[in-house]
Amino acid sequence: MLCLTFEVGENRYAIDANEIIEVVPLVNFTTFPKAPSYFAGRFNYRGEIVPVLDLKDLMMSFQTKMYLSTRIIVVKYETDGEIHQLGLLGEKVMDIIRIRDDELQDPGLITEETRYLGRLINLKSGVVQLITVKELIPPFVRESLFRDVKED
Amino acid sequence: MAKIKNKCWNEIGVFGDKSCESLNEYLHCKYCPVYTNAAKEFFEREVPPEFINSWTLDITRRKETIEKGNLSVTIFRLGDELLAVLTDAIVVAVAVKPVHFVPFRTNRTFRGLVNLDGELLLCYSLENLLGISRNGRETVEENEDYAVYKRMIAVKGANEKLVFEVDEVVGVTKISSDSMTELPATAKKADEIFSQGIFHLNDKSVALLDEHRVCESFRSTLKFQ
Amino acid sequence: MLRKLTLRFNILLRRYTVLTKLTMIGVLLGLPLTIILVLNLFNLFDSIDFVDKEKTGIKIFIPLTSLQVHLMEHKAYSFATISSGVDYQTKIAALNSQIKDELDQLIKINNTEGKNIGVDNETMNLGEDYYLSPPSLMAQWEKLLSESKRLSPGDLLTAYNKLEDNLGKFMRLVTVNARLTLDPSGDAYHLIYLSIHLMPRMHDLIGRAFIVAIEDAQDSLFNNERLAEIIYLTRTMRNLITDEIPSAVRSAIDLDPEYNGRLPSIDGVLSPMLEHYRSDVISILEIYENIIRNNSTYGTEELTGLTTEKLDESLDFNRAALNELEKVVHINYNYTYYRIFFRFIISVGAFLLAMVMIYFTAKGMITPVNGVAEIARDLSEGDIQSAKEKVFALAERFLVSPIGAKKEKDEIWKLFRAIHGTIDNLEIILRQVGRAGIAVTSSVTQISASVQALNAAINQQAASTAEVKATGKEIYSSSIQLSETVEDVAEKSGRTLQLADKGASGLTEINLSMASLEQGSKEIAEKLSELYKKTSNITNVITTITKIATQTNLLSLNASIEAEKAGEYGAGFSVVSAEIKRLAEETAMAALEIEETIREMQQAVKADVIGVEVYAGTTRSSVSRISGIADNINEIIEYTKGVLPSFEEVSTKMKIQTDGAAQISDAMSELNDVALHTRESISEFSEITENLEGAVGSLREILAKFRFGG
Repeated sequence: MLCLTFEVGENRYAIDANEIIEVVPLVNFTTFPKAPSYFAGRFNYRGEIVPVLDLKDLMMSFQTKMYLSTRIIVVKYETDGEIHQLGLLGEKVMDIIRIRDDELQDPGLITEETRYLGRLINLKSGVVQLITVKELIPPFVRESLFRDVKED
Repeated sequence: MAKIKNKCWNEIGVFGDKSCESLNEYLHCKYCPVYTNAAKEFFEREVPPEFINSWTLDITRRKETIEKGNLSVTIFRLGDELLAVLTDAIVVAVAVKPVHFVPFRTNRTFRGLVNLDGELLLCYSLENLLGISRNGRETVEENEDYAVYKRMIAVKGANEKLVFEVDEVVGVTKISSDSMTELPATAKKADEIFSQGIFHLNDKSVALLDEHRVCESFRSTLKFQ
Repeated sequence: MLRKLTLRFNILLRRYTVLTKLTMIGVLLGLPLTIILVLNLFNLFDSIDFVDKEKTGIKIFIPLTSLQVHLMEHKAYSFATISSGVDYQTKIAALNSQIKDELDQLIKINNTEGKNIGVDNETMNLGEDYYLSPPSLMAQWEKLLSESKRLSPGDLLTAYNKLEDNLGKFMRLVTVNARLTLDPSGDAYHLIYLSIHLMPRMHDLIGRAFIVAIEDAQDSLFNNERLAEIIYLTRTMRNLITDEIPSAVRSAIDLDPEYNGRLPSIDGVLSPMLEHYRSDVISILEIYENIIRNNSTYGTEELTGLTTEKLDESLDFNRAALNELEKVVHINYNYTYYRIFFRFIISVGAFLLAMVMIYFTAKGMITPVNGVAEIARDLSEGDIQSAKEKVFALAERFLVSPIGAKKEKDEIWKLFRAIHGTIDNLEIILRQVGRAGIAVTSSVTQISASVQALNAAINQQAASTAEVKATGKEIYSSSIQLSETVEDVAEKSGRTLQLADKGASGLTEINLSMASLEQGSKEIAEKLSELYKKTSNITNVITTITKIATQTNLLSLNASIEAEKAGEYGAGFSVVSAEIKRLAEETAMAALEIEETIREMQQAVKADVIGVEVYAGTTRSSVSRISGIADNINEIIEYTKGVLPSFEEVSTKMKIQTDGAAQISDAMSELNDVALHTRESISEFSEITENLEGAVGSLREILAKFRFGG
């Protein structure tokens, strides 16, 4: 399995490459009014309006730094049987790693809020944890988020 | 701006005295994690706003995913002529390598042998086969925007691989076989005799060479008449 | 194709020396010629064979002629005995033994010589002409002798005629086999015609006429048939003796010398004999004609005597003719042998001469070429001395001199001459180059020595400049102290107006120098800021590199992802994307290092700018302070109007010192600048001289490869 890695604080996380449409550089966002702070905003991705999730804010409640290594990972997001596009704002989106399934270990504690955290792998350079994209957005937010997009 | 603390590659690495023990494992500093991690440090800096602005504009553009055709061809330039071969027929395109003279065999069309990654391949002169003049090509394409490099292209025919030199590899594109024009019945130029069709690229006509026919006639120049 | 074959053939030929090749050509050309000549010789051998056969034929023919005549005489006597009753027994017995001898002789000659023309006994016994062979003729003769008493005259005549006929047939066989036929191109045509063809016919006619006459006398009846025969015989005989035989003899005398030219005996022997013979034959012809005209008989006895007499004479004449013929053929035979011998000598001689010519020509070519090759080898090794010696040795040995060179056309010797000249020129040039090299070396050494001296001098100068500058500063500071003292004095005296005036002007000068110093530091500051601006430009470039690196890295990520999605087909591409990633990292690293260098540079420049600004500020404050001092002094002047003249002296000294100190300072600064520039140019010059020295050194190395004599 090929994965794209990013970092939140000192931790490294990975997203399955098959879920990724494209990695794009930083752009200007138009902000969501009254939205949770982890919604960084929306942007025009190749003619379509795509919402962007600030991963650092979502996981650690810190705003992502606008560095050269900070990128938007555009992923496929399936909800209500429809496939949407979703941008994930991550820091240090710099590496691609290949993971073998048998090397993965079960994570320890998972709370209701951190259901997106997947299995772990112990690499020479440190621990990397898989992210389940689907679980990144709380269920109650999902519908409104993309309906909002459609209305735009 | 981060300052690089340990520039070991300039001291004990490939740019220094090469005494680093890790070189045994990685051969070159660019494969060493110390170097790559240091390089990654570079990206840990604020993005200039003008970058973000230009990228924002870039990303709104649709990706050019229009299906152009079903044939992938590699276009190259020989003198003033633009020619193409099927990308499938190309083994590799490399920088120009020395050609070794073969006594009693080397002639105007057969130039000699070329060592391509340890494999000795026959090197021919395509311009001679097609009767294309490469004289004065330097003045033809004085492009200041990008450098023009001569290349050697290895092509596989029915039974053999062989090499020829071109003035520039222009690029790879897809064309549809419908868009190709048939050859005129009275084809007189050599590049038309050896081509399976002609297509147009940016108002220039490109002859798509038949690699089997080209290989065949290269081969025949080696036999004694 | 053809060119390749020619090339290969050429390479093959190079394995042999020129001499071998020429010899090969000589053999290739000379051998066929020799073969043709030898074949020609065989033709001559054929003609030898021809003449040899002729000779054999004549040898056999001589006894045959005698035999024919004697047989005829024998017949004449036999029939004379029968018809007249006169006994000729003694004559017949003599003829018997004579014929026997002649037959024996014939058999003997035929056995030894006959094989040559295929008429020997063995050959003839195998063929259908076996009854014509000499032993068979002998047997027939003996049979005739033994049966002659018992036979009737008619049967005897038939037996005689048969024997004569067989003899005649054998004669024709010999004639044909020995090629004594009438070949008009033959050498001895007329003699052969005379002795082989005409004379036997003459004998035959005489014999036949006699028999007819005898028969006629016996019958004493004139028979028409017999008359016709005797008329025919006499006419033919007359024709032969008056026309054909003399003309044949005349032609043999007149024409044969054209072929042989060296047998006067033909004329000497045959001509008188012919005269005698002709008159005798004509006399007997007249008798026959008389018989025919008068139908009278003639005495048998008398006729027999006459006939045998004529036959003997005829035989003598025939023998003489045959004798001459034999001589002619013999001469021909020898002549042909001479021709064979000469042709052989000429062909072998020509071949040998050609080989000798080839040998000398080849040697003439190879010697100079070998010489030139050796000389060229010496030249390539740089041994000009040895090359020269070889040239002289060759020139002396083969007498090659520039004199007469125009007349000689041999290209190889021309080449040799050219090499000769080249070596002379080369030596002269190399000697010149050597001399030039030495000259350059010495001048370079001189130059570098003087440069070093100059450098030392400059360094010394710099040191002394610094010293002087320091001294100048000291003087300056002490002059300020002196000023203070003067102030004190002025205060005290209050009357040194003139002196103070001068002091004020000195201060103004100082002020001016200070202002120019400020101007200088301003310029430096400007230049530094320009430099700073330029480094900022480089920063812009780095920004571009940064963007490229970032985008390249991003591209590598997307490429990997796309490759993964493409599955199997993307496998090759993922390698490429890894390489792209490395490229991004290397670019980033390059950007980082450039950035750092630029930053260090900017900091250094900034420090310099600040330093200069601080210095400029100091200068400015000094200027204002000095202005203040000038003002003060002006004030003092007000006070010191009318100061004591004794102070003038002090003031002047002070002014000179202050002035001098400033001037020294200025001059030293300028000198320092100049020294700096000079040192730079000297170091450049040093490099140039080093290069020059290097060039001269390599020239010397090249020259060292050549060895000259003397």
